[in-house]
Amino acid sequence: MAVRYSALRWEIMKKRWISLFALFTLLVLSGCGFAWTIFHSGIGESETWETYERHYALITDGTDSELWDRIYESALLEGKERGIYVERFGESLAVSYTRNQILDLAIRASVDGIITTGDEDEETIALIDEAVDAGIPVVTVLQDSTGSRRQCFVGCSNYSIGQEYARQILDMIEESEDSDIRDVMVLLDADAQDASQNLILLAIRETLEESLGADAAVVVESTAIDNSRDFSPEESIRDIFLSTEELPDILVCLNEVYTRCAYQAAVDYNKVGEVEILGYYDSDVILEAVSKEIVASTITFDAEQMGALCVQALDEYDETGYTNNYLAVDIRLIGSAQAEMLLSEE
Amino acid sequence: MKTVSRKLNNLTLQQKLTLLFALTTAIVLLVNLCIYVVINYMTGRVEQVYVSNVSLNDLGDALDDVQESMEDYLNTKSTEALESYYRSDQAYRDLLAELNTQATDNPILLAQKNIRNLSFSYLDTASEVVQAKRNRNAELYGTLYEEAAALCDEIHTYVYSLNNEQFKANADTYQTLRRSLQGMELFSLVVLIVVILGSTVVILVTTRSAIAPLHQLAKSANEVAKGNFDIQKVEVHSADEVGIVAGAFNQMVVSIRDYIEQLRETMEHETEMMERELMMQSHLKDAQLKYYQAQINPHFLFNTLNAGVQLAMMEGAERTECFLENTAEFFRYNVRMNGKDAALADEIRLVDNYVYILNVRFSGEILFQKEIDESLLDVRVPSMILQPIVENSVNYGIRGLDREGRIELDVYQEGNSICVSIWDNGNGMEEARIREVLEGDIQSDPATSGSNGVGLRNVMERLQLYYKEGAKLEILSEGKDKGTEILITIPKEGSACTV
Repeated sequence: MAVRYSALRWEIMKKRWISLFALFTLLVLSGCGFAWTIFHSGIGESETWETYERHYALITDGTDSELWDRIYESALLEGKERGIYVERFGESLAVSYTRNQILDLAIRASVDGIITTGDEDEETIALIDEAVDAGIPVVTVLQDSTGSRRQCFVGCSNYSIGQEYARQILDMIEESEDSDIRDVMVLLDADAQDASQNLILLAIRETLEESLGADAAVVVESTAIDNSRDFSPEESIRDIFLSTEELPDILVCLNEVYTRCAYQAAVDYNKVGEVEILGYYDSDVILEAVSKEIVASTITFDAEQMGALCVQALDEYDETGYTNNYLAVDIRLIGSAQAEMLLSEE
Repeated sequence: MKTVSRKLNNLTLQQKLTLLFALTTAIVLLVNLCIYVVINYMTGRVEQVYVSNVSLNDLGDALDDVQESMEDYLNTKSTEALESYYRSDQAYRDLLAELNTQATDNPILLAQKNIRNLSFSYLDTASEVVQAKRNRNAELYGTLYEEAAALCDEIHTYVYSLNNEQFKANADTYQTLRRSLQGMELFSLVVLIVVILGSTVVILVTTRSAIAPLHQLAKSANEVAKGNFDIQKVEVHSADEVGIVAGAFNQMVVSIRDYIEQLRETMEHETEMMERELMMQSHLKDAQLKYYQAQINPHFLFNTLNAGVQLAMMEGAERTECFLENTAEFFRYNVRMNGKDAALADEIRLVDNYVYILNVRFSGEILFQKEIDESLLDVRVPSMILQPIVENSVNYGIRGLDREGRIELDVYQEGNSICVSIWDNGNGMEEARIREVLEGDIQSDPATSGSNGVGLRNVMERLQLYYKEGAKLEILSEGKDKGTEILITIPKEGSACTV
């Protein structure tokens, strides 16, 4: 009986210690649970961030958002590798400022460098010069301000773009059996004050003239798209499609927004095949349109290279005091086959 | 672990229960405290969430103060306005000092840097405005004022935008906090329930372990109450009240068991004594019966022998008469002296009778001589002590002896002792044999010895009983064929108890 009781007692003791141990474990787990709750709720964490030696501002004119996104992303990556933070200046502001206002803000905010689209407007030139005077190097991108004292321009050769467009037009004329292509319309930005558009237009005209002769039946005309108000380009382009008389055989779009507007209008008004669209840039929507042959082809450039070159130029100037006046970005033509390939790659 | 367990065992029941209650309460309290701490911490964080927004609002207000004081100065050029401008300028600068100055990938901190730099630019412009006003350069301060006003608006926009960003971020944090708080509520509830359940289990197990010995004790007590004392000890290792009660119970059971054992032994002893007494009484009765039976024969015998004596007297056969008289006297002595003491003279006469009978039976083979101190003839001695010794001398000493058998009886006084010596010239005894006889290893067989059942050993015992330690019986012999002497030494003033 004593043995049995001793065994019973041991069992009880064992159970008691096991229970105590289990309770202790539970408490520890509870503590861990509390800690886990706190540390994983995000409230206990201090937000982490990197600091950089320099602060560059990238200022855009608000159009071609996807293009600018890509340029900015590549500039940001390139900058981080060089200990520079590139901010898309004025992007998060509640009020929509003009590019020049933002440029002014960036100068007053004493950034270490400015990357901006340029034009030949005096105000722009004055601001760029003001920045340079304030010791802030400026790189113009995509569009130049040739009259300013900016350090570098990073962009494509507009004349080359024009030549490429012209070659496309010539190919279309050749492919057309009855050579009924008469009208080529180039959509220009009415507000653009730089020479880039004119250069493209000039290159198209000169190239066609060289190939077809001065008396050729093909007429290259330009239409200025009203860009003064928000959403006005889309309206202007639709107007072209609605007017049968104005509708050209080939429509050349010089930026991404115009290309998308023209593509959508062609679909909406059932003008696919009636109007050949030569686009600009290689966003997914445009590639999709090219692959479906709604847009005949599109000319694009390496946006990543462009963004990286901007930062490189500024950094080089900061480091050495000198940089190239002009850095060219490669251009390329994308046909339907290439568009399909690019889309499948993505 | 063992030490803790031992210490716990040594606690009293009250201490154990108190400790258990305190422990479980402490655990629940601890868990509650943890929950409160975490909830307080989170509530504190909720309060802090919008502090950054408040700071930015302060910044905006300070900027407005600068702008308003500057405008006031431009309007009035008053000293108060100028002082107000300087104060607000300093206040604004103080606030700006808290803003980030480094280039960073954190949009909020970067916005702070931009606001800071823009604000310094604004303050410089404002300062130039004030300076131009002082210099009464109306055209310049007009231009600069517009510039400052535009910049002020832009800074406000920046602050407003940053405020929005922070508000969004804070709103996210607030949502996270809310979710965390909800999670905490659920988690706390689960933890509390589990801890309470765990505590209940611990209480149950511990109280069970404390009460289990009581159950065992109750069971054992029941057994004892039924009269079963053959139970094992209740083993309780704790030193609490239960342990004490169990110890006392165990002691009580052992005491009762011992007492019962003692009682049983006493009763057994008494029973045995009674049995022995009964047996002794039975033996006594039997002995008495045998005694009476034995008495019949000698009486009958010596009466018969007396009749023979008278017949021989009438017939004139003197020798026959003498023989029969001796024989009758020998047997009469036996009957008369049975269990009583006698005078030494009577004992000597019995030896005479015995030797005469033997000499008649065996034709005078035994030469019996005696030398007696007459003054000692009245000394009282146990009856039947000399005749058995003489009978031994005849049987073992001189019977079958080739030469003439001789027995000498000497009674003399030596100091305060009386010596009775019976000597024979017979076979003698070796030392070892003498030791055996004296130590009682060899029992004389009445059947083989031919005596009437009273042997040497019997004589020794009766002498010791009669004289306590005062009597002595010695066997003296120089070896084989050297004869044997039996020497009895008794005190002169012998005790006179009946053997």
